[in-house]
Amino acid sequence: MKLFWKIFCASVLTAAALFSIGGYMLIDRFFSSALDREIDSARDENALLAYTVENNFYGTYSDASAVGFAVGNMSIGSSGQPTGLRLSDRSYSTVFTNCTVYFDTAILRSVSPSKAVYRTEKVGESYYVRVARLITAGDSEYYLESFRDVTDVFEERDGELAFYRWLTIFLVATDAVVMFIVARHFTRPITSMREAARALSRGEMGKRAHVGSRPDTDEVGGLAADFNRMADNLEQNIQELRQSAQRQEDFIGSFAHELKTPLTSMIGYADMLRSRQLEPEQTVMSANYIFQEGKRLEALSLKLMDLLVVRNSEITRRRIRTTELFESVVSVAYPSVVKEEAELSVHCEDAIVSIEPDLMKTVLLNLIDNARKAVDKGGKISFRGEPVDGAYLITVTDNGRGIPPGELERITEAFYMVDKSRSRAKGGAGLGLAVCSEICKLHGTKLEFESTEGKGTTVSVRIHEFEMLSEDDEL
Amino acid sequence: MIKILIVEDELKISKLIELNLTQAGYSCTCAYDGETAADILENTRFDLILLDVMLPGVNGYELMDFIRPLGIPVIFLTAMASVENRVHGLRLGADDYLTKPFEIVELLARVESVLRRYNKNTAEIEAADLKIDTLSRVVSKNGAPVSLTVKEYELLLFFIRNKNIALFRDQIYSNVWGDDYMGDSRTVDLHVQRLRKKLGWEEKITSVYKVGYRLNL
Repeated sequence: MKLFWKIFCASVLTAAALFSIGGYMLIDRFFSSALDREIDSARDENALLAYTVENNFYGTYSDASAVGFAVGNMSIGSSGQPTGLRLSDRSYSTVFTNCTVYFDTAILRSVSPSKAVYRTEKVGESYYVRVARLITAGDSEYYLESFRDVTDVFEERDGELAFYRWLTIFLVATDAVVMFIVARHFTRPITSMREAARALSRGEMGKRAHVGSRPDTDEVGGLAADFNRMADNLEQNIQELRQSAQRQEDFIGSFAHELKTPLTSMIGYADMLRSRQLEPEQTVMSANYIFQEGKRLEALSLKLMDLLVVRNSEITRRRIRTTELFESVVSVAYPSVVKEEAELSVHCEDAIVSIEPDLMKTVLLNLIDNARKAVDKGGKISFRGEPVDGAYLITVTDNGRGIPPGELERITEAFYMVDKSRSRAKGGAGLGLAVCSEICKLHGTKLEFESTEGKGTTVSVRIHEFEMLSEDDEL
Repeated sequence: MIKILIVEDELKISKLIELNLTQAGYSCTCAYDGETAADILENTRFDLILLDVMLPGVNGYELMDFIRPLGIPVIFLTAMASVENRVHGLRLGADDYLTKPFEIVELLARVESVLRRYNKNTAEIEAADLKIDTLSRVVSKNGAPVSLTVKEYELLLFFIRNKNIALFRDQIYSNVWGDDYMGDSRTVDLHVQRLRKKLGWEEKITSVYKVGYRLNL
C-alpha cells in the first residue's frame, strides 16, 4: 500500500474511533448523572410518601382500603405531577393503584423492612424508576411502590447519540479532507523523489526531486534536497568520467593518426620501392619521403618522451638572470621568426628568477613557435618579461588568428589541435603545449591564455620565485 | 577509363595512391580538402572515391552526405581502425574501408573488388595474347581455350591485377590461398611454373631474385 494511503487511512480511522468513543463516553456520563438525579428524587419522594402514610394525621386505619384511600389522596406529588403509586399487601395483591400500566410484583420479594429497593424498568416504550418499600399502617404491613417516569432522560440520551453520530460523520469527513491534503503535502516530495530516482536509474541525469519551500526545517524536504545534491554530484561525476573517457579516446585517436600518417607513407613508398621498377627520380623521391616521414616519427617520439619524462620528474631550480634567459631564447627563436617574415619585439626587465632554465627555455621557445605559426607574414610577436603583482610575468603576444573561446581549455591536452584537420602545413603534432603545461606545473605555475579570434593570443607564465636585482648581486 | 577521385590531405599519401592507381591503369584526380572535393564532384563524374576521414574543413563523414546522393562508391581511408569507426563509416554508406598504413596490393585489391561489385570493370580482361572472361571464368589464348585449375586461375588474375609489380611469395600465397604464409614457398613456385607452362608465359612471368615473381606487360 502506498505511504499516502497508509497515512490517510490510519489518521482517519483513528479520528473516527476516538471521536466515537469519546463522544459516547461523554454522553453516557451526562445520561448517568441525569438518571441518578431522577433516582434520588424518586427515592426521596417515596420516603416522604411512606412517612406521610405511616403517620396518618387524620386518624387511624381501620382496614386496608383505608390505607389505600390515604395513599390515593397523596397521588398528586409534591411537584404537582401525578405520581404512579401502588399499595400491595404482604401477599402481593394490589390494594390500591393509580397506574395505567401494569408492573410485575417480583421486586417486592427483595424488599426488607429496613431497606427500600429501587429499579429502573422499561415498560412498553417508557422508562420508569420504581421504588418499593415496606410500610406499617395500622396493624398491617404494606408494600408502598412509587413509579417515576424517566423516559425523557432516555429520549434525551438517544437524541444526543443520534446527533452525535451525524456530528462524528461530519468531523471524520472534515478530518479526511484535511488529512488528504496533509498526507499529500507530506508524501509529494517522496513521490517526486521516487520519480526522480527512477528517472536517474533510467539514465535521465537531468531529473530532480521536488523540494518543499523550507527544506532546512522539514525532514522530507531536507531528504529531497540531499537527494538532489547527491544526484548533482553523481551527474557531475558521470560527466567528468565521460569527458575523461572522451579525452582518452581523443588521445588514442590522435596518437593513432600521428603515428599512422608517417607510417602509411613510409610503408607505402617502401613497398613501391621494393616491388616496382621506378624511374630514378621516383626512386629518389620515394626514398626522400621515407626519410622525411621517419624524421617526423622521430620528432614525435622525442616529444612524447619529453612529455613522459617531464611528467615523472622533479626539477632542480637554479637562479638565473632574466636577461640571460631571454637572450638564449631569442637567439634560438629569432631565425625561424625572421624566416616567416614576422616581427619579434623583446622587452625584458632584469631580475633573478629561480627556475629550471632548460625546461623554461623549452616552454618559451614553444610559445614563440606557436605565435609564429599563428601569425601570417608580417605579423607581430611581442616577448616581454616584467615583475607584476609579486611575480615575474613572462608574456608572449601575437596578432595572429587567435583561438576560438571553446577550445581554450583543451589546447594543453596532448595531441589536441584547434585545427581539426590536423593539416600539418605549419608542422607540429599537438604536443608542444602539453609539454609546456607539464613543465609549468613542475614550477608550481601554469600557462594563462587570453585570446580573441582573429585578433591574436596572449600567453603568460607567472614565476613566483623571483627577486629584483640589487646592486651587490653577483651571478 | 575508370576515374577515381582521391580525397586525402596528406600530400605524400595522396601522391602514393595516385602513383599506384595510375600505374594500375586508372585515371586519378586528387583533392586535398573536403570543399575542393565537393567542387570537383559537382562538375565531374567519378567511378570511385577514396576518402580520407580526417580532412581540413569538411571531414570525410560530412562529405559522405554530399556524396551519397551521387551514387558513387566510396572507400574510406583512415588511421582509426576501431570497429566502431569502421561500422560508422559503413553505415554512412561507404563500400569498403582501408586502414592506414596499407600495402599497395591491398589498395589495388580493394579498389578492384569495389569496382567489380558495381560492375564497373569489364567482365572481359585482355592481357597480351590472353582473353579472360571473369564471369564464366574461361581463359583463352589466341582464341583457343586454356584449361586452368582454380588456384592457377586465381593466380593468373592476381598477376594481371598487379602487373609490373614485384609480388612477394608471402603476398601471393596469402592473396591466392587466403592463408597466412608459413614459409612454404614450394606451393607458390610450383603453381607459378605450371601457369607459365600452360600459358607459354615463361618470358612474361619473371622471377625476381630473393623476392618472388613479376608479370611484365
